[in-house]
Amino acid sequence: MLRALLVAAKDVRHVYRSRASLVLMLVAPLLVTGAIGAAFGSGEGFEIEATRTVVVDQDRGAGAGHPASTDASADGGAGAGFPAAGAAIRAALGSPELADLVDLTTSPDPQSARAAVDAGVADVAVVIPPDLSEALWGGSPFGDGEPGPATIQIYKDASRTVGPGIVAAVVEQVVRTCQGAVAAARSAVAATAAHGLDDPAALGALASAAASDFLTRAQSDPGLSLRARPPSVSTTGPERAPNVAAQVLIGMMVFFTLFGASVPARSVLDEHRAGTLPRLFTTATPRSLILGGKYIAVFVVVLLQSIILLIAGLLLYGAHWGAFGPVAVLTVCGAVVAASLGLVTVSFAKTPGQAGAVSSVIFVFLGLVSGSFTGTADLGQVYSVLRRISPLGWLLEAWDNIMFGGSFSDIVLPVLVVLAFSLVFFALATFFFRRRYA
Amino acid sequence: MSRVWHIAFKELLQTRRDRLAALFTLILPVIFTVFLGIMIGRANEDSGLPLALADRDGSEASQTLALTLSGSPALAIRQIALPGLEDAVRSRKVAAGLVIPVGYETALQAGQTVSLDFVCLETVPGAQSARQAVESVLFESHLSSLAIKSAAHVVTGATGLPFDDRLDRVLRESVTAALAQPTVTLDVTDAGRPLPGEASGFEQSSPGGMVNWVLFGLLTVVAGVAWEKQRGLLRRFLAAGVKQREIVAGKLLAMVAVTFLQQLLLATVGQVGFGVRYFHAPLALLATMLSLSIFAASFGLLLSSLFRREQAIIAVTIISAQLLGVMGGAWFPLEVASHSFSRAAHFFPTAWIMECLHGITLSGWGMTQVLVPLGYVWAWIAVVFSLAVWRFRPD
Repeated sequence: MLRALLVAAKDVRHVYRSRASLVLMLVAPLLVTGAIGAAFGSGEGFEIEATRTVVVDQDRGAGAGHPASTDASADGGAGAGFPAAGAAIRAALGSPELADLVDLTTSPDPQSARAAVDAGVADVAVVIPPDLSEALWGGSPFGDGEPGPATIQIYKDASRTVGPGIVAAVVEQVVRTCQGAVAAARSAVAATAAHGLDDPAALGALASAAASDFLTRAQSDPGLSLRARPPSVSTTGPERAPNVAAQVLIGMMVFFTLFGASVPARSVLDEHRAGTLPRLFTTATPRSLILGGKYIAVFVVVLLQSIILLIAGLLLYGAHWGAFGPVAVLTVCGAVVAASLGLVTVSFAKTPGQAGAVSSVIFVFLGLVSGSFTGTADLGQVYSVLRRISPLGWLLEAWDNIMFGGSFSDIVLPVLVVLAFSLVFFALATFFFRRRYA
Repeated sequence: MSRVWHIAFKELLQTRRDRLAALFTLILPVIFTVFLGIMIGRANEDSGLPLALADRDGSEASQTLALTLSGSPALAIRQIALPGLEDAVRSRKVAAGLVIPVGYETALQAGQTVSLDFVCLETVPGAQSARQAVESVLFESHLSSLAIKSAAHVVTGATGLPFDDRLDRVLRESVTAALAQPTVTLDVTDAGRPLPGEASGFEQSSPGGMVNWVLFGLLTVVAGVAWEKQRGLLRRFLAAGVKQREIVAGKLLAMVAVTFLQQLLLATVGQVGFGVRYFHAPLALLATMLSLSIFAASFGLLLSSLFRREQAIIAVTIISAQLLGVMGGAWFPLEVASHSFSRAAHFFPTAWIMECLHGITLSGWGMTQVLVPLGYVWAWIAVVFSLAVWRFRPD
């Protein structure tokens, strides 16, 4: 056994003395994690780039010929007392709450606004038509004599979706609020008329009052609101919200440990090619001990790699990995499965080059289906099933459970599955190595 | 000049015979492009996003809300109990979860603001789309409820009528009818020459794949240079009368050719397989692809100048490729990243290349629009190439 440990110690030392190996095993996952963590931040500090928005407000107000103002129709007709919808849209887009998201400027005409988007000076142009308020407020409160429909044009940079989407949502919300006021006015008139009141002046006043009441309520009553929170795993466990960097680093760690495992695993082939392995076989040390030493080396290399990455994540990115016990179990499990995968992908290759090519393809495929790179994307039910064809998918699922506050009971099944996969891989690797070297 | 061609030809021959090179240059980029294209497309879909719903109130009001949410084409509602909801969100079986709390109906009747738990993983983009859809439904529902309240308030005040079931029904029908006939519509148009249909995930994954994998295509040539330096083969070239600049030009030419062919293949796969519009502006595309190839080749030459060992070159190439890809917006569009990251990313040439490729494929950019972004790339090329040539030693 001591001889196996000596073989293992030599291989571990060899790997950790190679700067290239260290870069691939430690620097690469940490740098990629740092970059993605910086891109998406964590929690309150995150803000996307403000969308450069040009507004062209051509709205004439509710009363034809009147400027866009709150007293659009002085004669008490349709639209009396209602705010100019164009001005309301401008005010909403320029509100202090949206200052970080919308960088608002105005333009005198649609042509120059569109030209600004075409030239890349603006991301989106909002063209408010002259008859907007007329279309919203100008109809009869009785529901007849509908005004012609109006169209607000949103002209956006085709390569941008998020910022223009926010602008469009704000515009739509203002319009729908105005339409809500109209709905309140019309329903008030309809209900009153149904009870026999048919004086047009009184009904008009009633409509104005209902619309005004609606607009007041809309400002003061936020209604239903959403409170975003991460999922908790165990009802008794603490609810944690791991930051983006922690979630990315786990994916990267699980992926790069495969490459970490493949480096010492390939040493079997390297030594075979260099003749040092056959020389070892001529000594009194049994072949099983020599191969056992190689297995131990692969496991220890990956275990050390995982521990270093977890500590680095804690120190560099402020990651909360979860309770110590389950984290330790998962770290060992991860090292076992990575070692077994590293060995099995090397075991049926004839040369180090072939092993590198084959293992790279297998690792990248496993990383893809498991969610090492794309844990950030959602594929719904299909993906959640697909990722379970790989032991890495199970491992990532277990890490998710722990990071979101789970305990041992939440990782039992994934750990058992991962160990079962590892057992099969070790058996396969041993079969191929024995066939070649026995 | 013929010596340059011979050196370049030898490198290309070596690359063609190397299976590992084919793997990194062609097969893996295509696999990544397809997989990420499907995933991004699915995440950006605005229809049928699975939303787990836990109704803890079980009241008439909460059931009405559940019914309204089910009517949203953007959402596919799955009603489950709370523990199952947490698990479904965490394991990404659903895009997000919504919890209607106990006392929902009572709070609504009392006119109190009700807060619903929206359970999501912040790194799942589908969750943001689901949240927008839920907020939209809640807003519409709130709009209708407010309109009824306002109308009822005014009608009862003006006529003295009681607010009974009959009045409620009349108002509800009238409000629903008024809101169902919007007199104002939004017309969203893309600038330039917009796509005939909706953009798919491949508009991001295909150019992203080109930028992300271009450096991998150089592995064979760059590692080969290190190998030749170690064994003194480049010195033998010098002894045979080949000038150092001819060696550099030959290697560089081979790298440009390899990466250009790689890009051409990926662009063709993107256009033919997934409808990404690369070839409608051939000149702009050619300029962009050549710029990326020349940058990658200069970078590869720099790596082979700085590092002697094959293993070190492979490690540095992999890490550089990943970082340039992430920073350039090859993995995700920079518009969804933080403001400061997006600014910092534009220091890197890959961000400008991505901007050109997005401009060509999404906005119908031509040669004139790509000139300025490519100017930044060429500034990088000048610096990297000068450093590479300055540091290049045949031994």
